[in-house]
Amino acid sequence: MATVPSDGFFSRVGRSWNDFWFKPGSPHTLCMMRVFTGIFVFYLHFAYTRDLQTFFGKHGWVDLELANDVRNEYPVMPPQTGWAEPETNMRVPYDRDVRAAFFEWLTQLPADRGQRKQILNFLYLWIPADTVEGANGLALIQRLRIKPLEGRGRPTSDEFEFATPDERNQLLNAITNLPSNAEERDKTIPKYMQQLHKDGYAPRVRADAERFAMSLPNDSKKIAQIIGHMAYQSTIPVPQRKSHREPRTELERTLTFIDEDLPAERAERVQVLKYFDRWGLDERKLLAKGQNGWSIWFHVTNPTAMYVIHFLFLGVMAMFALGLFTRVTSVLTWLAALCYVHRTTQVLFGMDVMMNICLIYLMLSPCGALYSLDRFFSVRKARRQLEEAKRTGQDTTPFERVLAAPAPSVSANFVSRLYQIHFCFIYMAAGLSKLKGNAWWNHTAGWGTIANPEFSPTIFAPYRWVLTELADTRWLWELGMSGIAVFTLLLEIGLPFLIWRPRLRPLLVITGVLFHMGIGIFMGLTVFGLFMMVLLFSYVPPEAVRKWIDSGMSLFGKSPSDKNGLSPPEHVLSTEGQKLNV
Amino acid sequence: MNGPQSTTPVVDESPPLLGANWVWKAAIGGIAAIAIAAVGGAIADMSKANVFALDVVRLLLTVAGIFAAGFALSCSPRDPRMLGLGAAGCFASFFAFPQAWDSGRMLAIFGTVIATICCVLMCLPQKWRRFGVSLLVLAHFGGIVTAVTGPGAQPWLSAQFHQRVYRPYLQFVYLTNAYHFYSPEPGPAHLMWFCIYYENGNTRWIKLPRRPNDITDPMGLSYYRRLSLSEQLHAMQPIRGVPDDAMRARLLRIQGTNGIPLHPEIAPVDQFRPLPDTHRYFLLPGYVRHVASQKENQHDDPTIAIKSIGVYYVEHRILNPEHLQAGADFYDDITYMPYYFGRFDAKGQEIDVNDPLLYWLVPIVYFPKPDRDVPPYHNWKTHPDEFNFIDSVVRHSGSDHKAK
Repeated sequence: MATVPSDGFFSRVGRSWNDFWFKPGSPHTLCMMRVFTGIFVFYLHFAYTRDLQTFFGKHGWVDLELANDVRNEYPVMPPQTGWAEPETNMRVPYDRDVRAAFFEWLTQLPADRGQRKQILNFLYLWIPADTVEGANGLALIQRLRIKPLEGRGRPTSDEFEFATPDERNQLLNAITNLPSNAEERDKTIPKYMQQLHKDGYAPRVRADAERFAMSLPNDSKKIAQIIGHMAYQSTIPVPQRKSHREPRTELERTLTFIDEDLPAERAERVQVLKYFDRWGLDERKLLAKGQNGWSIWFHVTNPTAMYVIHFLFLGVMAMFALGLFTRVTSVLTWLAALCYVHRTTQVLFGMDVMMNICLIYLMLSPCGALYSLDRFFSVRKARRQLEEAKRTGQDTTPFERVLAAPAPSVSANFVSRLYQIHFCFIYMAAGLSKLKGNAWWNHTAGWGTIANPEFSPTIFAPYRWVLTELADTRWLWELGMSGIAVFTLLLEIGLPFLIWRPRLRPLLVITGVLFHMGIGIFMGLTVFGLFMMVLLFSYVPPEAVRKWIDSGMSLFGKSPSDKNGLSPPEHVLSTEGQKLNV
Repeated sequence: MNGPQSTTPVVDESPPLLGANWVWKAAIGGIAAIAIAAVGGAIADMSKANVFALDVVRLLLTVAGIFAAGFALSCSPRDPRMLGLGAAGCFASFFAFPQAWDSGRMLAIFGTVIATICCVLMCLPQKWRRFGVSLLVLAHFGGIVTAVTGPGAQPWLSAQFHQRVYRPYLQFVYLTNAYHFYSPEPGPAHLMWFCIYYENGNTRWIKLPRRPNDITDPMGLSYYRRLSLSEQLHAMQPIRGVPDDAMRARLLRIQGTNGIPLHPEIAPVDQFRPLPDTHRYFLLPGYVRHVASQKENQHDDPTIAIKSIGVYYVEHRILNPEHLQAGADFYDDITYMPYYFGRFDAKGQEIDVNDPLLYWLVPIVYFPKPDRDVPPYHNWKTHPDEFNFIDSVVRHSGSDHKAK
């Protein structure tokens, strides 16, 4: 009995992979996708015309100053690599004035780490992590330097004056010689410090307190602000400590920063604190700064010049839609679109994401091979040359080849596959992420999408009437909402698996189109829905597109062979095309 | 689908736009223009001469050079020599762009990388080329996986790859979206109300976006883009509770004839929404600066300047079906839930940071009249005479936000 030689597993995987990605395919689908994408991209950007200054101008909603700040300075934190990494970034004061005073004081601290620690010994040694007592200890320091103005019960930072040297000495003496009167003692010295006195630490506490108090600026308001900030931080416990070595309160975290991370060199310290001031983080501990965004609108801000460039971009987009110099205009269209995207990401929504996906893969494809002016001109030229060649008896093969259908190409199939796989990612992510939400489990999410007064057509009275009628009958409402939730989840999670079954594909594509029509109508996201339909179109086989186009042509009384070269005549199939049974 | 002959020779899809001779001339001419700009730029950068005209010439030469070389490349995209020349041109254009045009330089780096990869691939035999392309496909979709598995509870590996490997690429080509549409659940939309206070005491309200006034194109993109702007402020930071001071100050603000009540149907902790620093210090002041800079927002009398701008961030609630059944409308006053986000000067500097209502809900509500015994099944729609209407925004701002 003869044995059938069988390939190994890896050979079969390799061949399947090769067939999936690199089998030549016809470009009809992609060319049709280009037409739709081009039209929608042009519309989307044309709609910017009125708002060009509002969205991308120097004084737009996100003005140039802010946009430049974000793209150059935005902090990118490194993800944690080990199990327990302490977060040593200190939390900066919320209030700008307080922040300025606090940073000024930090700038004045000694460069030497030992000296710095000595000045702040009081904070390191004598401020307990207990939230109330810590604040009381800091209040004592405050009283060493300043006191509220006469008659101010709960003073603001403006309502302080300096304590006299006598008052300060009196208070310092009270640390080492506790007042005998219990009431006065409790009023003057925090309770935990009285315990320190019993333990014999009072002289050290006094010396450290005095040293720290005298390091504070000679400005009563700034002292109040700095101590107020520290007292506030001493009351905030660090939420997630991973080991006992990590700071217990925000104040301890700040002290760790001052001890370990405050640069000795003054210029560097100023630089580090400047970044802290702006972004609240230590720039030395970042993975990177800024975003990889680029745009011509970061550099061209003159309104007239902006409009000139905007219309140039629109011209390129129109050429892309029409299929003129498609290889060049596809790249330029993508670059132009990204100029708007990167300049003001705050005005974007899902539609722009889908637009980008449509454009990015089309660049790699022969999307101008059909239904384009490129095709029209090349066919016209080839016909002329063919006639000439026939008349002169030259070889007509090159011109016949141009007149034939564009040969199936690897890039056409490859790009179609990129679209199809990417679309599966989109649906899968959209579907699975919904499973995290209660509203999708209890089937009320549908109402949140169709009754949102800022998205849905609730501004139209008939639509409001329909929703009101629906709400009148609970079982009908529940039925409708369950239908929406189940349909959405089934489609979004099921499509990535089922779309690869040839029999189910037409059904899923039609269902997907209906789904996105629904999104367009009931959720107001019309252009988003259109781009999603373009992406769905990548699942339509080129043969089907060709048939539709031919049928469309015949509706206008034109035979498939008479299309001015917009689509190839059927009878002039290339040799490769015939071989491939396209 | 098509047949399985994967070994079929690939025919170029469309004939080149230029003859081979012209293609090379265009490519070399383009590279030469870029090179001139780069050399000129290097000299200018070294001498630290900051001449605007020189920058313009550099820029024009570079852009023209890139166009010429790019056009030539598009005519023979499979030729490794042409791709190599393209990579060299992109690399040179990094130096050719003036320093201020850092965007162009970034684009040049991207172009260099792409052209180099393509050049290497086209030098390889078909089998290895496909292998290389396969690796690129896997790498590309690996990036997409890292994007869709974040944000939020992202797997450790995904986070590492995303931040350390893929971030520059995904950001550059804008493929960072996670596609988590309407998840975990669909929420309400958010609007912004700006109250402009002029020096003479007059006020003017700007509401963003306005439907249908802001719909200026058939598909309503202008409206949705504005809605997107206001949605940006929705990134609330998680709070474990309201700080004691803030709660005490808020409770005190209830008192008095002009007091502002808490919303009766929402827990106090949910009525406090502090902004993250990035929003508080950057985004919101940026919005305020824009409002203050607009000509149409200035006082009719040009001598009267803008004194300050108050910002209310308004959640437009989605009506429950039971409310709808009870007669409520999607645009009733009480469907708007304004949170006070502070007052700013025209330069976007925050003022009055100690306002006890900062980041608190300033409710627009109906309260049962204190002297009436209102049954629980009565509501303000069915029995309006039994309820008092309180618009706390009017009380807080001292101005009627509904006035035309």
